[in-house]
Order: sequence, then structure tokens, then C-alpha cells
Amino acid sequence: VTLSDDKIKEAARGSERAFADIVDHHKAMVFSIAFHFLQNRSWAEEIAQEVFLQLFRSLSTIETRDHLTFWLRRTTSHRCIDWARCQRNHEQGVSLEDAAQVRAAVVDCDPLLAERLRLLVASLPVEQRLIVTLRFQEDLDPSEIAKVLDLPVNTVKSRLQRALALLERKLSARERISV
Amino acid sequence: MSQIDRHLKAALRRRDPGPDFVAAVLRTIESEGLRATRRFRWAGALSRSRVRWATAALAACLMASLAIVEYGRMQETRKKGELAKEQMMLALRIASVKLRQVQKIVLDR
Repeated sequence: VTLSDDKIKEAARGSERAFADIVDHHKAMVFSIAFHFLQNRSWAEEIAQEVFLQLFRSLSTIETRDHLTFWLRRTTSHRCIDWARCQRNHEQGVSLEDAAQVRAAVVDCDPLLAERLRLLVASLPVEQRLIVTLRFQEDLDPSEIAKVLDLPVNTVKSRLQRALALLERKLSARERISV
Repeated sequence: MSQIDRHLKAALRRRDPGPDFVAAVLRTIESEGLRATRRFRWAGALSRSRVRWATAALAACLMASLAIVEYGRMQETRKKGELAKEQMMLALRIASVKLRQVQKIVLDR
């Protein structure tokens, strides 16, 4: 089900129902970007809520549904970067409860491989992590990622290549160890 | 698409937050207070084009009032100049009369 531009206008005019529909439509995208970046369900929910709160305040500036999707991806990405910077100062680990939820969330493909991959993605540097998330979760090409993150396209391409090479290397190293 | 790309796509697929997420967002907005809602409604009522027109009208009003003030200032300066000119002419006329009187006295002697 696609969201119409009218729904955005309706929400901007003050319709709570229209705003709830917008949140419902985009919640998985916003939450997942934060979740794959942070690997922590409660932090990801917190960030997603903050993003939608910010959207509520900025609704009058949103013109179309494409603009809305772009705005949400961009705001979530920047929130994640801010969060990571903040966490670097107050280092905290993932709780056991969260770790269990992370495991339970993966159901398709090889669950062990998926979990390993997500943990490897989570170990990437901040911008590489976000680029990989936007590339593979949101299926964005490097030029779209560049717009979302305010980076030159070539920087995105090189960081993506570097991240993929690193992931492949780490994955094969782990497989060798486990064998 | 390489194998790692496929694995990453599967591992990083979208997932839903808790079932209560939308309600929680609406609760958070409500707890932010009516102020935010009022601001929101105002912002909604003023569409972007209306805001643009209002800004243009405000700028035009500002320019017009600046022009009026400047015109008033110019008129005042001109009035002051004319008054100074009149005073100067009067002073010259007085001086001329005085000079003529002095000249007459000198010639009479």
C-alpha cells in the first residue's frame, strides 16, 4: 500500500489519523535503519520515536511522499551518527535481553550466518555501517546514499567497497576458525 | 549480485518495531503538550506557498515603510534648506540696506 501525497497534506493540516498512517507505513524502515546500525532494539525504538516526533514538527515542510521517505532516511541516519558519537563517550554494551531479541528476529536464510553478518556489520566504522545498511536494507544505489548522508558519490562507493571487502575477509576468517 | 550481497540483503531486511510503536509515538507527541500541537496546526494551516506570499508581502510592506520614512526625511531636509535659504536672503537684504545707508552717509560727507 502506497502513501498518497494527500495523506501528508492531511497530516500537516492536523489529522492525527493521517499522521498515524504515515508512522505505520514507515515505521519498519526507520526502526530497521536504527536497529541494523545499533544492534539494540530498545535504542532503535527510541531513535525511531525521536525521528517521528521530529517529523511531526516538520510536517509542513514535507512536500511529497518521495520527499518524506528521503527525509526519514536522512534524519534517521543522522540521528544514528549522533547516537554513535554520544555512545563513544559513554561506552555501553548490548544487554542480554536485547541480544536474545536480535537472535529471535532473524528467521529467513541461515540464521547463524545472518547473525554473524549483522554483528560484523555492527563492528564496521560508523559511516561504513550506515552505507552498508542503506545499500542492503533500503536497496539504495551509491548516488542515493550520497544524497542521504551528504557525502560525495565516490566516497560512498569507496567506503562501500572497503566495507564489503572487510566483511568478506572477516566472514571467511571466522568460517576458517569455526571449521 | 555476489553471494555476500545476497546474504547481506537477507540479514539486513526490514523488520517491524513492537506492535505498540504507533501508539507510543502518538503518546509521546501528546505528552509533548498542546503547545506542540498548536504550533503544528499553525504550521499546517500555513502552507509553504502561503508562507512565501506572506514573506513577500511583509518584505514589500517593509520596503514601502522604509521608502516613506526616507521620503519624509528628504522633505524635512528640503524644508530646512529652504528656510536657511530664506534666512540667508533676508540677511543679504538687511546687509544690502545697511550698506546702502552707509554708502549714502559716506557720499553725503
